[in-house]
Amino acid sequence: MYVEESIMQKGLPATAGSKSLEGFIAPFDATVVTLLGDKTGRFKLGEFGLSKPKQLPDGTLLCNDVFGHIRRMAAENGMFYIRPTYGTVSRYGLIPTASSMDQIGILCKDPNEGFALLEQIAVADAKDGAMAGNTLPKEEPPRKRDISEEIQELVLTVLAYAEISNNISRYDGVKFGFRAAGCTGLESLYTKTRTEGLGLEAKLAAVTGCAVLSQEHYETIYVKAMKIRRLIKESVRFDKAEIVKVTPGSPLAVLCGLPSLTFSHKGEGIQLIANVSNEKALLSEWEAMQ
Amino acid sequence: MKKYEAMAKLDLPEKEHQWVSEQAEMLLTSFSALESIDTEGVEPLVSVLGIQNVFREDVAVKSIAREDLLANAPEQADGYFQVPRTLE
Repeated sequence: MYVEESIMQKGLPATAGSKSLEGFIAPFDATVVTLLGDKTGRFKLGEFGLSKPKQLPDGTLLCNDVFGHIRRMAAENGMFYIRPTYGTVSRYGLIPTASSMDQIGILCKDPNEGFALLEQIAVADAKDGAMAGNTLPKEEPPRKRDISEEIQELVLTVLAYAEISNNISRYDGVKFGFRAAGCTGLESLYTKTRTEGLGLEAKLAAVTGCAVLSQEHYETIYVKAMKIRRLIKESVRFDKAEIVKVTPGSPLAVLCGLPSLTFSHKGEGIQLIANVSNEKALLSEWEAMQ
Repeated sequence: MKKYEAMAKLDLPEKEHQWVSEQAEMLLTSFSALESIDTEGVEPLVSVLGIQNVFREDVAVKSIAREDLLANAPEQADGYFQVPRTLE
């Protein structure tokens, strides 16, 4: 079993695939690592999950998947990706990408084993503020409007880039990780370190994030995207089996904090989404499809 | 785009600047499609969790040792993080 490089394991490097974290040694264990004991190896994915990794491991992998690269690759490679309900698995010790969407999921070859593993790591943890309680909507939402997948993608990009831009502002060469050589002052230390340490995709996310959070675009793009995110969450309609079927790359589950199971069925990639904390419906539906 | 690069504390070499500017411009243009969605009276969704605020007791816990945290510092001196001289 593997954990991705963004999940901290005491005494071992945790780089999140970024040069910014070169030389960083985790000072403590992530909660999932504590729960699993010493049974894990480490696996490097794309920088902060922004880019598609070159390959997947030959075994189970615990990893965060905001952008859908892992879900798509799982379906293409005959594997499964379980994304639990937001707030189900502790993110303490997970290097953040987009905090309102970050959730450790399970890439596996057998969904039965994957869900069994999920039960093992879905343990309440006061160190993750998002575990305080994800609740089912109490009443029928007031608005139900279909929002196209294209718009959903845009909303995910706006919000994820804004959050990433914020989360990677810490890689400034002061307290940990990579520091550029030959800096002449504090401003030069920040700028040179970040320019040399961050990869191209991370730079794009940082710049775009700063743009949508700037006074110029804050209301028209950032706040607008948060409003549409609410409409998207309210638009989810489950079928009789309490399931919604979408493509592996669909950002719906990520945006709504819902659990999903991605795999390939009759040669086609599929992502099943269930209601909050209704992970068992995912496994039942997959079984019914066999 | 230069001003957003500066906000992100980046000073990109020309080739990277060109690529990032082009991509970011394209994204900002595509985001204008969001305007077509009517959000009159809709509150922004900040968190997907159905919670407001959670209180806990104020309990002192043992934190990570100073030496352990400083061990990751690119440069340190006398138990502090060290940065280049900032005042003349």
